[in-house]
Amino acid sequence: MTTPTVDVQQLRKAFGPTEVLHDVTFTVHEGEVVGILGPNGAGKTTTIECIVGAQRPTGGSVRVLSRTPHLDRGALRQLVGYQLQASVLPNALRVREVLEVFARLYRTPRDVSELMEETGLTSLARRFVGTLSGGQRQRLSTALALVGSPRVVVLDELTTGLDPQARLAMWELVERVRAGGITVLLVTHALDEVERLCDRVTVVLDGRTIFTGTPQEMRRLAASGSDERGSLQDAYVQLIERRGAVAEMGRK
Amino acid sequence: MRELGALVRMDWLQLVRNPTALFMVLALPFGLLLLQAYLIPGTRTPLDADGRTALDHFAAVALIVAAMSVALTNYPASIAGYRETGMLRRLDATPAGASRILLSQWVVSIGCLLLGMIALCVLEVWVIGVPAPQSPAAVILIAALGAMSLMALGSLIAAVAATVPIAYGAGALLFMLGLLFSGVWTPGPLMPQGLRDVASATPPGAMTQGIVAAWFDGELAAMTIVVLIGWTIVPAAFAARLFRWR
Repeated sequence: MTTPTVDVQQLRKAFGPTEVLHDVTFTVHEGEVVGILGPNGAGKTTTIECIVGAQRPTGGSVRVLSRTPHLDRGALRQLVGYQLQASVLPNALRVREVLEVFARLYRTPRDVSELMEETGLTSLARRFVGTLSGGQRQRLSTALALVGSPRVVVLDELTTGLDPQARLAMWELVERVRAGGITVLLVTHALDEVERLCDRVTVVLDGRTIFTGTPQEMRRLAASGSDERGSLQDAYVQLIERRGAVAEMGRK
Repeated sequence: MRELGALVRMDWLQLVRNPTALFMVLALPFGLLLLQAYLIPGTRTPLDADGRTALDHFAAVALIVAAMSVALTNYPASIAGYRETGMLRRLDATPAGASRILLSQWVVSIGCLLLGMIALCVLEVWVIGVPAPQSPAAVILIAALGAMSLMALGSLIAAVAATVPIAYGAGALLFMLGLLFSGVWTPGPLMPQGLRDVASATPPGAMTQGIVAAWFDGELAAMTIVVLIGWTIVPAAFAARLFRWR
């Protein structure tokens, strides 16, 4: 059994007196694309921030590439690419300039021209970031997550707010990333995205992992093993409602 | 160094493509100096037996005002803006590091400051008629050390200010204190001795007194250098420790 690339065990995180993660557990193996699903406020972004070392867990453990993120951030910043939920970029710089600046922050950067070609940014190279559309900014943001030749890339709500054509372009980009052997953690609300891209899924609800498995297994579980033909959307909603009701009963 | 060079390039490009901040930095000291030279009466009358005028003192004060504009308002507001928009959070996901981000702003800000100070000196000596410095090297040394100590103070605000208005507010407070200690309202011998003693232990006061001494007497006081270096090391170390990414 190989060591997981990302290993999250019974992760807990509190901000002051408020515990937002109670028990998040999942693993990601090399070259996999794993989706993290859950309603707004479920704890997905906090989980990701613990994985990239931006937050220190209150309990449990997180290991990424056999390192503890909050203790070994320096090394992991070179190995983990992170595309943030809201892509904040310097508007006064041109696309190529931003990529060149970020490339110089890494020890083993990708060739900027090659990366622009791969992410469909070549024709936008001289455009100012402030003039890009939402989809173009997301492509640039993803390119920035890849510019350091990462072994793991975290994509947080990659296609939220994009039109169908831009979403398709982003999906094709993730498929190319996966083909390059990079491990991908994809935080998303879009079930069609999960269906197309993810090998496995982890569902987080109220700071707890309530499901980990393949999209097919999620369908089976939601349908109590009797029907695999329902949509992933239906299965996800059922899972959330069922677990949500159980949690509510537990609280009463 | 490669990483620092990249950040300096980013900060520099952003500054030259939006030079309003730079213009504002120069507008205040230039305006102050021109007012003193041509509109306010009596500024060319000697204030003491040395024959030094209020305008001579303002030649030094204008440099400090330029330095304070950059170091106490523009620079902290720039970092706070990065924090407020999430740009710092983005950089936190890269190997950039907090000290390099602050240092990059130091390089760009001090570069702007030097250009501004040279322009001011040219205006003072060649247009307004302030005598040329007795010891240009000592003036440059005190100006450089003073700029660094003010940048270190600005770093304390930059390290923790959550938003641009907070950074501007805190910076404006220090700026007003700086104006008092530099002698904007009480130039040279008009400053009471007690206030002069307190001012000499602060970056703007030590910088003003050091530049006046170097400019008009060619003197360089060791205590001024110690004060300015101390005010550089201590706040800078605290700023690096307190730095918040969000």
